Amino acid sequence: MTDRCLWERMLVGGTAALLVAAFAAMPAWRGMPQAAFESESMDATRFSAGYDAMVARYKVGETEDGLPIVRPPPGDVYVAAERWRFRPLLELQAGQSYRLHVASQDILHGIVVDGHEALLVPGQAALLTLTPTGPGSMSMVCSEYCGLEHNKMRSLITVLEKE
Amino acid sequence: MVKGEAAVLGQDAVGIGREIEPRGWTITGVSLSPALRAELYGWALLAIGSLAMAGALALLLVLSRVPQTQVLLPWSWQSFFYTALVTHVILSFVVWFLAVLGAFTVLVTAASGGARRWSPLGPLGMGLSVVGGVLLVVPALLNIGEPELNNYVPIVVHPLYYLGLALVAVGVALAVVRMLANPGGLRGCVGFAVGVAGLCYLIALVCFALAGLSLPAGLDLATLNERLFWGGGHILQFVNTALMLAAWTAIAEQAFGKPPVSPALFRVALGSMVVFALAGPVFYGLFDILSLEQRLAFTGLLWYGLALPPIIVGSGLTVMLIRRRAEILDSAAAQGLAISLAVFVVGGVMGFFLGASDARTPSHYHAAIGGVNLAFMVLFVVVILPALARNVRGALAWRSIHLYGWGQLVFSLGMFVAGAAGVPRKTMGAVAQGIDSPLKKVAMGVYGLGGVAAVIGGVLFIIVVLSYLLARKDSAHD
Ligand SMILES: [Cu+2]
Repeated sequence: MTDRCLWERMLVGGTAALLVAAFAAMPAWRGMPQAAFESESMDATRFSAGYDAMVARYKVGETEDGLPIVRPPPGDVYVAAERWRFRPLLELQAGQSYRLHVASQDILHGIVVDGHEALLVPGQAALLTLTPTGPGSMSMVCSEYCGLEHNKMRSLITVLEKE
Repeated sequence: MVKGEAAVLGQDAVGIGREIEPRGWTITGVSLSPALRAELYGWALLAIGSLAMAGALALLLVLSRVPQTQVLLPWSWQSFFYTALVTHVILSFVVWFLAVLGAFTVLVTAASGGARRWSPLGPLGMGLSVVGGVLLVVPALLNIGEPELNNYVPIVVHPLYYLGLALVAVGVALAVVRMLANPGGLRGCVGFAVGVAGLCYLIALVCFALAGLSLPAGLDLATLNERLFWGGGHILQFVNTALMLAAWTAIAEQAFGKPPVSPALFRVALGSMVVFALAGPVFYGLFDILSLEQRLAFTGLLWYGLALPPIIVGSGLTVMLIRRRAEILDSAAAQGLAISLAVFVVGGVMGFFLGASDARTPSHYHAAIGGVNLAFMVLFVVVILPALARNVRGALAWRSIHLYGWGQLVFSLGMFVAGAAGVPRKTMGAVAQGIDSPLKKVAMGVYGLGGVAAVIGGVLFIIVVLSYLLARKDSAHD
């Protein structure tokens, strides 16, 4: 033990210090950034009413599997999560601000959009203020395992040039 | 290598791995009593049997997708597909690793010396696990139960499957407890790493239990199984990592006569894993079982706790391999070690370039798991089979390891390039998934070739090791 080189002792000590530092940093996770999403008290009836009104007014088409394609104006936008899709298919404008209300229609889902994540507890809604940048697309992905086709539960928001 | 050479190796100019462990502290070349040998045989058979069954299911999965062969199956392929997939995953990612843990506990117990305590737990644990392993396969073969592809521990919702899982879990726990009750063997580096794997395993079981107790009634089966196995499943990755480091160290001791880093550094690195794993059960008190925080806390735990130990031991191994490169050409074990390290490092580096939803994510997992698999494959050839009085002759076993390793490397790199070029995740191999650019095509082709090589290597390895296990042991060895 006595003939151990100095650098080796430093290596052991340094490693131990690094590990302790990493461990000490753990409470910081609790404040991890997921602040962008807020939970809101919106019951299922109000959500459905908002959703139906939005689709009725701003529907511009339909996909092959009957998913409505909706181009809402800036403001309130409703997204329903259900096994294994998000509806409707959204077309938003770059540079405009949208209040995205997302709610699960069946079981626990998750949503990741624009780098923000929320868990979608049935009976509650999650709210995110979203301002798409340049034209292109944004992905909306389910982040909580919700059944065999969970991996297919993703949708692309089309971002259009600002009018 | 002869143990007497240790003194010469000890004069190595640089400090890494300078301390030589006293004879008896290492598990290589340890001699087993007939009772312990029978236990080790059971674990080895469970490990290789799981891989063989997983391979057979993979073949059925492929057949069930081809219209010409679909008709040969006794069930409709749609319902069979996911059940078989779940069983394939549980055998090749959970039972295989846990059986290696079981085998390691026997070797470490054998190195403990002196009178042994709680000996009946050993064969009991092994027996329960083997029975459990068999039960796990029954639902897939009878095509019963509802499959769930939840993370880490996928489930076929059927009593036989849950019973099988519980028997495997309890069996391995008994083997771990018996090892911890005879702590003499834990003093060596390999023994220490296996001890860490064992403790982390028990912590994972505590997490499963806490999750089970805190889950509310009336949940959907998908959510129930996902959240039941989420935390403990993460802690099981600590177990797998510790086992890989134990295997690397055992192989290094065999090939070079010493551990990859000094025992003190090794203990700090591995010991930290237990400290991090202990945070797991605490999370169940801090966060709601169904919350986002609960999920992110365990993901964070892997990032914080599981990066440094493989980097430390892997760096030591790299230094060792470079310094002793002249010996590598003559040592099959050293070559196996080098391939395992290379594949694992490639996977680890890829982990830093993850593109959220393209093919780079699975390429990271494939390479990391490939590296772990390779470590265990080499362990079987240089430690476990010899300890079972079955010395591997001929080059076939080593060729299969090389084929698997190089194939896995090419496969992961090709998949990574394809992902970086924009091929989406989970649709690999599908026709017309935007595979248009020449780069994507070449990457997909290379990835396919590597995959085929890896599959052939893996199948060959299973056949070779199984034939050694089922053959009579070397008479000269006793
Ligand atoms: Cu979902």
